[in-house]
Amino acid sequence: MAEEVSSQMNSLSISETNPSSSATISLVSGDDIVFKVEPTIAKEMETVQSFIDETDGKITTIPLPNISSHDLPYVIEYCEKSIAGKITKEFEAEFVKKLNNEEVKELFLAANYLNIKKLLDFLSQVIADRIANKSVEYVRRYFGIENDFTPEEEAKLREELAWTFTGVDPDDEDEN
Amino acid sequence: MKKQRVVENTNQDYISTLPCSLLCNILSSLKINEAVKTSALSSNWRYVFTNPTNLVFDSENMLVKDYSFHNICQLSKVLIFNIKMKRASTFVSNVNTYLSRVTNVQKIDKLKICFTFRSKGYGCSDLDEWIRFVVERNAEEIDLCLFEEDHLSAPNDGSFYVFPCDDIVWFNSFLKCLRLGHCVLAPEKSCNGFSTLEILDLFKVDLKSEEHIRILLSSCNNLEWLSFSECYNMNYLKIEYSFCKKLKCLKVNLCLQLKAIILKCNNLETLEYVGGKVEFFFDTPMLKSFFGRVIESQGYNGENWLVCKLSTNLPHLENLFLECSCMGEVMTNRFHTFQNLKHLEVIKVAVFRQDLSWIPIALNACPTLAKLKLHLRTYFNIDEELTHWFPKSPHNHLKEITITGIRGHSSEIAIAIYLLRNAISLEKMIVDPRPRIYLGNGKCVCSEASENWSMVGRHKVEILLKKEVRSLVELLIL
Repeated sequence: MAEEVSSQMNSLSISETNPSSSATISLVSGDDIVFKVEPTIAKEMETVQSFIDETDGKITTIPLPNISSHDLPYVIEYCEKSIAGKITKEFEAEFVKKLNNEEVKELFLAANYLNIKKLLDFLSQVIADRIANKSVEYVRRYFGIENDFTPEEEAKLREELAWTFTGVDPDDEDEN
Repeated sequence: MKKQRVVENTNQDYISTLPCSLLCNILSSLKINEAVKTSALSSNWRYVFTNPTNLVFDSENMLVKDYSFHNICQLSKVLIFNIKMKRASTFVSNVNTYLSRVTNVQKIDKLKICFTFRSKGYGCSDLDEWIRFVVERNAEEIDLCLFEEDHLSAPNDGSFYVFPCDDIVWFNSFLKCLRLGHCVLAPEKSCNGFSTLEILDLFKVDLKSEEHIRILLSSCNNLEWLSFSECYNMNYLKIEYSFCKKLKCLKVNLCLQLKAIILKCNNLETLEYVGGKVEFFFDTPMLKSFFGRVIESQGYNGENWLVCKLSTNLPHLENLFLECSCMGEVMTNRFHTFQNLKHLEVIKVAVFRQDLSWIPIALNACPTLAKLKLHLRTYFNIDEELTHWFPKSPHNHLKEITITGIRGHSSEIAIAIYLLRNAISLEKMIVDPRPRIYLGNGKCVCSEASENWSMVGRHKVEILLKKEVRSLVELLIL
């Protein structure tokens, strides 16, 4: 896994700042890896773009302390496809297949931080799909949500919402 | 450090710490009953669902699976009626329960209700309340599809829901889009709430009378898109200069009682009409696009009234889209001259063979045509050699031709060859085997190419057309 990540990073060029390619934007992940991207990619990331705009484009190296070098390539890949107008159902299915549950959550936070609406909506849907037709217990386990209701409170709540608690798929443990 | 990261955080609850707006975003992708269920996850999630932006009330969202009725045909009528009543009352009570929990929401964007109440008057007062609920929360879109039984004329037994347009709640509305199905829409007095409307889409709506239609249209100052489909009690559609000044697009589809359409619209750009023969009066200087169906039947004595009407009354028409549902002899005999037409699109349905004879006439009738799209659909193909060719009618403007739905039969290829020979300035011809189906609103969808296209048809078309094509023409066979 670690080797795979580092080879991925190599392919995305982790060189030191290169003065000749001033047009590109350098994104620095939380673990200090530099990713060079085209300005068009940066435009997809509203947070990055507003940073560039605020400094009149003088600063092209942008620290993204909340995003790791593991997640950033996925975000960049999605943005590249988005610009090329190649976000298809097939691509999205493949894209999600590569991600484990943990990574989906991480990317959702990254998309939120970077303010990439399309990615955010897409991942909302992915997370929603993992809540739909599942029992409350499954969803708690899935997201690591701690049940802080007393048994009485929970029973009362379930009674009130009785009509929503039928027709649940059997829990699939294997997914985790 | 970075290598351990993934392992480190496995059991942390990230999701619950997301800002509420993001959690709402996730819940908005869920069915309502699924979203409500999340309130039992933890105290953090307790009230997340109470902030919806869109309300979609249909049986999927509001009823559990037990209520979908299989094998209902085998039951007695009384039993069926009881089941349907039970279903409707459960639906209403679930919606009411749900709404009672989300009363704190400030803004609702959209309300959509798809349900069949089926019983005279049942649920009407609840519907009124639901609509009031969203209008008070500045709703921008309301969509009611109340699928009731089909009627040839408007039912008089009160089984149609009367849309509450005279309600006081409309005083301060933000409504931009209103779609109604199986309702009565008949304002008694000018309705304030409709002044913000941009889209009004009516399907099987009872419009009551000419006076009600006049009040309705005079209330819609900002309307840009208006559609009447299979509406009842509309004998005359009269749009005066002072009504709907911003109207750009009008669609009238199979409103059988209609006798005349009178359009005095300075900004109307697109008109779509499907239906019987009616009187047309146009004062529409901006009307550039027309979509319609040429229905040929005994009743019209083979007179192509629609096309005649358009070419004389709308000489400035630039885009014409016609669906020719029958053999199309009418097209051959009476294709009138359109002096300014730039774009012609024809869905040509034929039973045995495609008819080449109208093509030279159409080319002559549209001297400025630049783009031609022929969507062919032939039910049975009789493959036979063409017995006679039509005289040349060279065309100087035609630059792009698309032929879809081609199966590789002689009568279709003859059309392509004729066009290649006569369109002198042609730059591009696209041959696409997938037939198009017209959906309305200017949109088509593709269906599947015929089975033996890739085996036989494509090869044949390619050989025959390559012989004809000049070097400057790009020929694309899909």
